[in-house]
Amino acid sequence: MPRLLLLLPTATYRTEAFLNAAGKLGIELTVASEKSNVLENQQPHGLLTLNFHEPEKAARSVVEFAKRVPIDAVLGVDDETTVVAAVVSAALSLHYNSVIATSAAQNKYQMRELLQKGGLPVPRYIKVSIEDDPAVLAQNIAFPCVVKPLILSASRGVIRADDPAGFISAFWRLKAILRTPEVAAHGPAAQEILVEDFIPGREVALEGLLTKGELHVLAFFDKPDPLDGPFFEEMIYVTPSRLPASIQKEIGSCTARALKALELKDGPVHAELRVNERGPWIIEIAARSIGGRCSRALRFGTGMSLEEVILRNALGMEIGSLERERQPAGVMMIPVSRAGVLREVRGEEKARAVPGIEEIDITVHRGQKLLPLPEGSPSYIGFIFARADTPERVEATLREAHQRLEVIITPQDFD
Amino acid sequence: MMKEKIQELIDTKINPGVAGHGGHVELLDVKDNVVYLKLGGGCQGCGMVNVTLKQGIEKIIKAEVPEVREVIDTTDHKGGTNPFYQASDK
Repeated sequence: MPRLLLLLPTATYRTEAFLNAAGKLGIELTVASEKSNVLENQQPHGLLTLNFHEPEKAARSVVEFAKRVPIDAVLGVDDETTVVAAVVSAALSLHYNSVIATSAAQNKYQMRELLQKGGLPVPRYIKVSIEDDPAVLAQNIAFPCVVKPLILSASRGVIRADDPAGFISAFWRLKAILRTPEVAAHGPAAQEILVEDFIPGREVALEGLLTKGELHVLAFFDKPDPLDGPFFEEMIYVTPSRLPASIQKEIGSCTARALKALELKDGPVHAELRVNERGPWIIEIAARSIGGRCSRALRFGTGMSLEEVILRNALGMEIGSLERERQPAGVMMIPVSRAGVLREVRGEEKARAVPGIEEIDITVHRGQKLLPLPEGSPSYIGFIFARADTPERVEATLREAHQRLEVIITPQDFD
Repeated sequence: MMKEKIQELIDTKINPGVAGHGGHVELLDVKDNVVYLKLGGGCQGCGMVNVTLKQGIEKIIKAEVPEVREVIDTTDHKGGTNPFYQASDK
């Protein structure tokens, strides 16, 4: 059987889904994480430690490893590890996206630069340093604007400002996030901030798979909650989209052009766009699949998970149908409502009893410290999944189940 | 006989390893060549428990006891109060 090197950060939500898919396919797997697994010495073919912050060093380690254990494909599951996967793949002469393309997809400024050069509709933007004086910057900024980190995901650190005072406040708040040791470890990208126009409109997400540069749209998700700020907490994803087919086609076409501009050619992609009277605007494109545990809302062909599709594609295995199941589906990411310590989540059974609810997965544990956006990580209490006859029903089902949950958080100040 | 062999593997190879992260593994049962385990300590609620289970524990057991079909973790991971790695937002 072929062997795939899967780059899994220790804190990722994506572990279970990828391991289940690999087990179903019966492929040989080596899992690499940034911290050593306790059983690595006993399973040296299946477990590996790599420094994801130093891709070149990681690549050298994998080249040595591959002399003993041949690797047929490499796959990263998040923004950082897709870049590492590209560097490692290049060192092993394996087919993957280029380092330039994955790096651009990870860095919001590089992405904006390439998309703008490619003639894609993107917000006006500037890059500033966290050492700049926000009061001076505010004199030359159009409002409303959005400040965001060049890195980070799940809307962490993304803040809308409507006036100079709001901008100065948002700037300092984001700077504090970027200075935390965990974020500062990302290097120079954590020293800069992107400031861009706020684009009004409905937000949608496109899940896709690239094969030899061709985009296969796997799913369009509506995000029915208005995302107007000041923070941009995503709560509900529902597919299929209720947007007219012509607009969906336009979104697909716009995304395909954006992927070409970024020179992404292979593997999963997750794009987020805003749609208004001027058409679609690219907000984000990632060279990875949808985050969190949201992929459970998707099934393809005869029951394939998204991760199975991704692994098959990475190893050149036959995929069959990429058509999503016909039944509408959705996921709610249960937001962290306040800072504090999680004591309990009540009402799970009542929430599960809502017709159409398939699963409620609480992913934080009792006693865990929680912070809401924009600082927060983890960003969610857990996930609610539903399927129903219509997208409207899916959305209503998710909201009903969420209302039945009671999340008990004890207030606590964190330094 | 199979159960004794698996218990020996847990005692001599698996638990000494997971103890490094404050974890421990308990053998609950073996039925129809399926092994049922409960994980505690730092393993309970750990973000990497699936990797440890599938890439570590299961492979160690299957290598020594090839007739084992599957290893199932019965742990209530939501009850973990001191997991070694916590999930973040990715």
